[in-house]
Amino acid sequence: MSRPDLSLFTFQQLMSLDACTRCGECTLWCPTFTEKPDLDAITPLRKIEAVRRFVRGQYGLLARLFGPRPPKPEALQAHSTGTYDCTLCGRCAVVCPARIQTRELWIAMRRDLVRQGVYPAIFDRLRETFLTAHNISGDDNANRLIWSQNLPEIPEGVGKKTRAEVVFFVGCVASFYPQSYSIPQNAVQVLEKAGVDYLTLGGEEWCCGFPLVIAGMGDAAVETMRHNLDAVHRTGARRLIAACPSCYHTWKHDYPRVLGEPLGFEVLHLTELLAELLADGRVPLRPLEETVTYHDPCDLGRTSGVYEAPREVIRAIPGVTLVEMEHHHQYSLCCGGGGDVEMADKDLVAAVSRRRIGEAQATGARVLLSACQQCKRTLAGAARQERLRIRVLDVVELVAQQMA
Amino acid sequence: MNIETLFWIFHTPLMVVFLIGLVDVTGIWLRGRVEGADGASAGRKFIILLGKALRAIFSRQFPIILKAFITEAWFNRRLWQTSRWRWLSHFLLLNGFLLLTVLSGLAALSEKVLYHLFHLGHIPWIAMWYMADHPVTALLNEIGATMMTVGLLFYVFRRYLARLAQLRTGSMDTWMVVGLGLILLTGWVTEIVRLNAHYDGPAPHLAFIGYPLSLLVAGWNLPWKALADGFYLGHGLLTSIVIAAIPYSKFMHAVATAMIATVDAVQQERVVVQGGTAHVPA
Repeated sequence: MSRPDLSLFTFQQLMSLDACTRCGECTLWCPTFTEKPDLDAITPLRKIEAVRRFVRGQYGLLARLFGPRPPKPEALQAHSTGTYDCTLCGRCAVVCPARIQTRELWIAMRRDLVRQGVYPAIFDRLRETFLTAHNISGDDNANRLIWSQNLPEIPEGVGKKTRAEVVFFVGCVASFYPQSYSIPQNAVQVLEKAGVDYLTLGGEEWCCGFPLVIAGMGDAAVETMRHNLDAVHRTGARRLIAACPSCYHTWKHDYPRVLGEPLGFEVLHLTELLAELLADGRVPLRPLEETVTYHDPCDLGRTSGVYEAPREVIRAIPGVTLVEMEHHHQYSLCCGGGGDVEMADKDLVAAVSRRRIGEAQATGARVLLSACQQCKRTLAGAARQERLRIRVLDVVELVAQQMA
Repeated sequence: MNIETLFWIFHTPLMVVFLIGLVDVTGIWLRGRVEGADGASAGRKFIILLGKALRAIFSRQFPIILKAFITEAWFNRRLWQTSRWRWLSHFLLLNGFLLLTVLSGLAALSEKVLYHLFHLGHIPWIAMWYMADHPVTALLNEIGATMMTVGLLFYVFRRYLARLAQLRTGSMDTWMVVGLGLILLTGWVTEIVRLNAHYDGPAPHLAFIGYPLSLLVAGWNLPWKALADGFYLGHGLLTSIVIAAIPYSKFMHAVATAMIATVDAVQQERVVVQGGTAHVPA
């Protein structure tokens, strides 16, 4: 067992280990700890406390004078379980009185756990699949546009163009999980209606790298990121849109940082483009008398700061009444589908999503909208499990449904 | 041996321990990555960070930094939004401590520098800071100590009596309570005993707790002078020990949290200025 590699953390992150006062505010807001109250190692304050202890025990003055004290294997294992049972929703950062940027800290901790070899074994399979199949499902990557087969007519932008103004980055979940096919299907219909010059990359689109980045295996994703960037550059696009908030966040924030260069094009979430198209009157909509509620995806809201664009799109549909859930915007509850937790603990994901769908039901809305295929999958699963009469849709699906 | 000399004999090495601890902890932080300093030594990273901090302070960003420091580090806005009681407890502890620290600093400056070096002791508004019994100085010291005491009592109530489920009280918290509690307790006793041993200037009638209590026990037949020296030394040493332990205790959050909260608030402000929304990692 080796020592923590402190170069995996930033100066600010190491300082924040001493800034945590264990006030416990984060424990009240942690969606996974709420469902797993016996696993104290999940709580942000315990994760910070553990790493602080490991670091001090091996790098502190006493360690230098009397030799390092490695952590007990069971302590390291407990820390690993707590760190990998986190959905990385970032809610703790919003309420932390010390303003510790927790999400990035958890990812740094995961990177160190991977280096020390103390992480769920299933992540090795994820890395292997990612590197060989270039997607997270292990399907043949040439089938990335399989979702388009059900369209009445396959648009030119879907696999038939090589250059366009806009690249529509579909993402792995929408490309390979049938429950999510309707998101790209509806997205391209809206783009067609608005006359957007777009294309999809087909087999040239590889996984954006997000699952590996948050697993703490980001180093393995660098080549893939480079491949994707080159693929987009070849199209001459000025814009890249992503319907998946995780892809969006990775493109917008991680690509320039990891690759060390500006992208050379603008990155937008699909809802941002939709808001723009609707404001320009390029997508006329029919009225709909319906009460809907909106779930902020963690990677779009808290992590990327996009809260209003999806709401603007929803409000642009005549007759629709938008009601907020008990927790919304930066305080929004996680759906449970983030942080790769699904790979390690499916029951935990189900418990978190049940709580969120309960909040949606409490609003009295008959439609729960989101702007993320993973949130849609998770919440629709919870609605089915709980036998709730609430439709779970992506914002773009509702827009396509109401197109005049 | 003079009691003050004795104090310095113990205090000086303890301050060396404090500085070593500070270097140790900062050294650990400096093992982390610093933008623009890949592979650099700790010293080099420190210089780069110091340069960045100074450039930011002496730039047009200064108002943003000042605002972030005041609202997040000093006022603790997030705590205010979360719980007024917790905020009040923290505010009393922090600001009581800051007030007493400023008064100690002023006392040292006015006595050791302005009086002894520059012979300005005849100026009343200089002399008042090192005369503990001056009504204004006595009042301010009393306010600071009372704020800290009330703040600590709130803290003890939450952590040890109410035992709220969200708290994970551990040895670090207990050490902080014991350390602060002993300093405050000996501080009050030292003041009461000192007032019975001698007055230093005008009557400290504005010391609204210490002075009445000192009058209450004034009739006791005790060796006030010897007790005053003993408690002065004890209180001073306890304070020195707690200061020496700061880098390895929860007290370190006073430095780390202030810096983290300020830096994060400035980074978020920049995101907003650039047209984004807060809570995006900078």
